[in-house]
Amino acid sequence: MFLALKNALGKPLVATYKGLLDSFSGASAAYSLRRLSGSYTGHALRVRRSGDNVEADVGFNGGSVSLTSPVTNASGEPAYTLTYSDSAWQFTGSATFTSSSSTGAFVISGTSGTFSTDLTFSTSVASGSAVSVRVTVASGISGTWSVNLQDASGSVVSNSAAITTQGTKTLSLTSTAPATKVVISTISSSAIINASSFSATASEGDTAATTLDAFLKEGAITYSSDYSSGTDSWTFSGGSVAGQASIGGEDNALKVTRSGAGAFFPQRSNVIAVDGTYIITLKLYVPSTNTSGNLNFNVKEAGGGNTVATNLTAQDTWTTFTVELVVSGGNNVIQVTSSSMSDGDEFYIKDFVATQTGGMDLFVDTWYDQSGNEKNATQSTAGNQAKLASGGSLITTGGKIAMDFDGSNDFLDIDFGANLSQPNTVLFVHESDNTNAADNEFFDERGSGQRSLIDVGSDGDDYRIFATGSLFFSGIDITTNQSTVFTVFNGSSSVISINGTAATGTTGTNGINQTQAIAYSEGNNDFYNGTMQEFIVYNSDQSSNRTGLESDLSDFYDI
Amino acid sequence: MYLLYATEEEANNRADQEGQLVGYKYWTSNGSTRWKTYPRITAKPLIGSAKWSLDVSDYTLTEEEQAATVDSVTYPSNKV
Repeated sequence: MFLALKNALGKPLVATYKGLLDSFSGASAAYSLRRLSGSYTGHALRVRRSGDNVEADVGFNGGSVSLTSPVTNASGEPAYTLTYSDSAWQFTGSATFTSSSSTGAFVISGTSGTFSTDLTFSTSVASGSAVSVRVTVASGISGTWSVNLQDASGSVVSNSAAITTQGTKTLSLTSTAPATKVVISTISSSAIINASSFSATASEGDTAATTLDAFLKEGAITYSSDYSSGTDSWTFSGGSVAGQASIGGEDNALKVTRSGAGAFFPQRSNVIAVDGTYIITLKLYVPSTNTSGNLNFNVKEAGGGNTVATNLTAQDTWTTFTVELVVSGGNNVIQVTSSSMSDGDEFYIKDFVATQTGGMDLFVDTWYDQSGNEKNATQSTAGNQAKLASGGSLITTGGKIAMDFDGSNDFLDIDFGANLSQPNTVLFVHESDNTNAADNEFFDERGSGQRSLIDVGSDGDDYRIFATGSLFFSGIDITTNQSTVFTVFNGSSSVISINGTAATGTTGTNGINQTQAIAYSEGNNDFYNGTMQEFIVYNSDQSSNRTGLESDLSDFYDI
Repeated sequence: MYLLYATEEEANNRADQEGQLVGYKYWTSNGSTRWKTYPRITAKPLIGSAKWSLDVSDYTLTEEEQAATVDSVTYPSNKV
């Protein structure tokens, strides 16, 4: 919320935003679709758009994510490029360096030593620009390192937190002054580091949209091919396809040949998606040498879906068609079809472009941590990403934007950097799609060892927390209503509170694992089926703040 | 529909290949989404020593891969 302050003369001062974390500080990680702190200036989410897989960061429009939220840092060509050379990398110790011009990756291999390096931007990065740096530290490697932006004099104008964990890290740095280079600093270890995909991003990229609404409605090219590289994964089980064919003055056409009498139905997968509306343009050529003389060609969703006629009327000439196809059958395969063709009949396709114009989905790639600890919740596997928008509309719960987990395989990973020993407090806002125990797994470890679990227990209806011992919330069953859940993992002083009604008891002594997941449980590889709007973790006992925290949640979400 | 691999690396490579084919932005620019599906270890090997599974239901498969798919796998459980 914004507080309108006035001075002694009654003149308004600059409005100050105050969020939950300003009243209840010290969170280890905090994720929400509303802004939780006046000091947080980062994004809410990174989303992936269905169809063309374009990604962008979504910010807050004031206090919440909405259709008018700003969209920035889109994927695509970077506005700035980096120049680098072997000599820019400096080592002390035994290490070798290779670079790959095809991927822009740097691979540093060494058995010991200390090294640092700098990469110089070809153009100075403007103050306020976001720079994305992806670095992979191989498994089995230990060390501490960080990435920073420096100005021409070598002063640091943005610095990442110290990073000690293995795996791939995508670091977002925002320059506070014009920056000229990226520096990976002071890596002291036996190290193999793959520093790849350095890019500085601005508004240029795969989208011209500047708001979430525009991003959701923007026409997205889901597939295009001129077949200059061959068949481009088109197949035809009723005959054959061949690329780079020359006919009618065009080179590099896709040639389709029927084997035996029957229909034409060459096809390609990963072009369309269910509920999408597509504008498809293509060029067709049918030679007069065909035996059948059939000109009834269609664009079709495979598997019994919708069909659109092209109304081809002439042989021996290229004809361009633009058709609209609404996908209904849930098949991602597009076909170009014709019936009753003869053995050896041919036709040709050129310049096929599919543009999705409606029904786009948005998926959550990253739920940014607003605590300041940079423990973002991430999901790099498209099939496991929760939805933020479905069929062109934002998902809501209780009238406010929410993300939806499908209960089949959607979840978000968190790497806390280390186990969080008790006491711990975890609170969240959710609305389940059903009350099945197997569909209500909210929080669990993804590693091994320490385990703190929040779910609905196997008795089938009670909320539960588990940390080598289970504490059930007996009395109020899980419902399909929007609910606040407040939990404290603190041995014999543990707490579960649902919508403000609390139970206390014992739940064991385990902490939260370094690698946890939201919406998943390793118990039986079950997931969470429902929506979620906020999820906050404290590495402390917040029992004394329980009613205040719950009131903050229930007031905002009107629960 | 799943393909089974003896090692996580082999399964990762196939997941990477599909991710690049689809055009996830991890492979082309500053995106984060890398895979369509990701390998998971199964409770026990179903074929020989192959215990890493990859859900390929929505993958573009070769005929050889198509023939090697299995319909279901079982994952390890740590139920409490």
